[in-house]
Amino acid sequence: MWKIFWRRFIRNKLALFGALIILSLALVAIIAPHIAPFDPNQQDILHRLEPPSYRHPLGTDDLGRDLLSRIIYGTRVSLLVGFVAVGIAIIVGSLLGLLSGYFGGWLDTLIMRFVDIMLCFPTFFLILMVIAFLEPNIWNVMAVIGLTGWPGLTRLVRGECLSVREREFVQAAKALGLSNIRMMFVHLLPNVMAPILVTATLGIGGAILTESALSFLGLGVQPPTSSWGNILTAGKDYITLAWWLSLYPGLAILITVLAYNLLGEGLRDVLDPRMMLE
Amino acid sequence: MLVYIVRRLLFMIPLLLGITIITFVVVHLSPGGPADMLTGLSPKVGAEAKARLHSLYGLDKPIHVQYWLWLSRIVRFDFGESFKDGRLVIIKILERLPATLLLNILSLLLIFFIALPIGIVSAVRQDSFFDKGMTIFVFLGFSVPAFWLALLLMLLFGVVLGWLPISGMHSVSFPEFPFWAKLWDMIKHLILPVFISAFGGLAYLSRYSRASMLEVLHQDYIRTARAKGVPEKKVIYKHALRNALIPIVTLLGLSLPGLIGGGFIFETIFAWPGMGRLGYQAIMSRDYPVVMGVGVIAALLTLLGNLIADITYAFVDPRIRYR
Repeated sequence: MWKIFWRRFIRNKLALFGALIILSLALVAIIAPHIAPFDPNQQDILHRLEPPSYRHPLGTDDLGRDLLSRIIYGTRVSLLVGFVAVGIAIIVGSLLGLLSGYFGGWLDTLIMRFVDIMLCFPTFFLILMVIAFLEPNIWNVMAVIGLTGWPGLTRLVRGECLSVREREFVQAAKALGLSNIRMMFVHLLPNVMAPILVTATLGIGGAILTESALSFLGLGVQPPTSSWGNILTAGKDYITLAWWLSLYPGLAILITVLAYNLLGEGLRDVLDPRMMLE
Repeated sequence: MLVYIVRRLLFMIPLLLGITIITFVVVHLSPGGPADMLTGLSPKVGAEAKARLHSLYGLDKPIHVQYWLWLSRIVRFDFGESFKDGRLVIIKILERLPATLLLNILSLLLIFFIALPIGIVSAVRQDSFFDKGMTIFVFLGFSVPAFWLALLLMLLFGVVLGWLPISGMHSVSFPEFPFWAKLWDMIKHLILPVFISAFGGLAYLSRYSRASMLEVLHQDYIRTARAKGVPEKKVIYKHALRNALIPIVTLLGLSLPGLIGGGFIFETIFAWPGMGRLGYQAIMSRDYPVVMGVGVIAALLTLLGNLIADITYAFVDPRIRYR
C-alpha cells in the first residue's frame, strides 16, 4: 500500500516541490553556522540600517547586525517551533479523539463539549494571555501553541474512529477479546493515520505563522535570539528607513509556510481513501 | 423554528460557563497573579495593606469561591475596574466595541462580496486560466503572514506612494472637517485595516465556495435542468447558486473567531482604537480585570456569530429545521 502512495507522491509535482523546500530549509537550519556570513548577534553600530550590498546581501538591522545571517538562524526557530508545537497538538488531539471515538458515552460527551468550548474561544487571544502571564520564551510558545491547537484534530479523529469502529475487522478483533489499549493503538490508530498526517503537515505551517505573529508582538522568541517574527518588529519600527527589514523575513515565512501547505495538500490528494478505489 | 432557536440558546449556557472557567483559571493560575500585581509595583505597600486588598477583591478565599463571586458579577456585565485608570472595565470595552464591530462587519461584507463571485466563476470555468490563478491566490492567502502583508501595504501605500494613512481611525484635524471630508477621511483610514483583516477569510471562502459550487454542479437536478433546455445562465444562477449558498452562509458566522482573533494583532499594527488593541494593551500591562473582560466578551461575540450562522442555516435550509 505504501508503494502506491509513494508512486503517487512522486507524481504529485507540487507536493514534491514543497517537500524539497522543507528539506533544504532543514539543511539550512542544521548547517547555519557554516553558511551564515556573519555571527547573527554581532553588532556593528557604524554600519546600522545599511541597504543590501555586496558585503551584506540583505542589508543590516538597527544594531548593524547582518540580516541574512539572522534570517538563516531564524530558520532554526521556525522549524523547531513548528515541529514541537504540532507534535504536542497531534499527541493530545489524537489521544482524546481516539478515547472519544472508541469509548463513546459520557467520556465522548465530555471531550466533545470541551472541544466546542475551545473552538469558540478566539485562540490567538488565549495564546496571548497565557504567554504574557507566563514568561515569553520559545519553550512556552511551543507548549501553548501545541496545547491550543488540538481541538480540530480531536473532532476529526473521533469522526474517523466512529466509522472505522463499525467495520468488520474491528468487530472481529473485539470478538477475539483484545484489550482496549490494543484495540485503540493497533487497530484504530493506523486507520486514522492519513488524516492525522495531513492535518499535522498543514498545522506546522499554521504554528509557524502563529509563532511569527507572537514574536512580532514581542510575546514570542525574545531578542537577541533571532526569529523571523521579531526581526519584523524592528521592520515596523524602521519602516520609513529600512524596507529590507520588513520585506525579507516575511518572504522567509511565506516560503516556509507555503512549502508546508503544498506538501499537506499534496498528501491529502495522495492519501485520500476515496481516491484509492479508482 | 422558535423551538430550534431556544434550544440553541440553551446549548450556549454550558459553553459560556466553560469559557468563563478557562478565562478565570488562566488568569488566576499565572505566576504573579492579580494581587501581586496590584501591590508588587510599589514596595511601600506593607503586608497589612496587601491583606486588605486581598480581602477587598476576595483573593484570600479559596479559588472556587473566587470564581463563583466573579461569575455572579459578570452575569451582570460587572467586570470590575481597570487596574490602570480605575475606570469600569465594561465602559472601556463598550467605548472600543463600535470600532471593532465596524471593522469586522466591513471585513465580512468584503469577504462575502469578493470571495463568493471568485469561487463561483472558478467553479463554473473549472481548470480555466482564471481558476488556476485563483488556486494560486488561495495557496498564497493561506501562507502569507497577514501582519507582514499589512507592513508591506503600509510601506507601499503609506510611505512610498503616500496615498493612505497608516494608523488610527481619524486624522488629527478630524473634528474640524465638514461632513463629506469626515466620511472620506474615515474611508481612507479603513481601507488597509479592512482589507488585511478580511484577507485570510477571502482565501478561505473563495476556496470553499468553489468546492461547494462544484459539488452542486455535479448533482442530478443540474443535469436535468440542462437536459430540459434551461439556458446555462439560469442553470447556474438560479438552480446551482441557490443551493451552493447554503453551506457558505454558515461559514460567514464561523469566520468570526478568526476575525476577532486577528483583531488583536491588526488593530495593534494599525493603531485602530478597537477592543483587540485594548485587550493587547491590557495583556502587556497585566491589567487583569480588562483582560478577563475582553476575553469573555470576545468569546461571547464568537458564540453569537455561531448562533446567527446556525439560525440562518436553519432559515435557508428547510431540511434541518426540526432536527
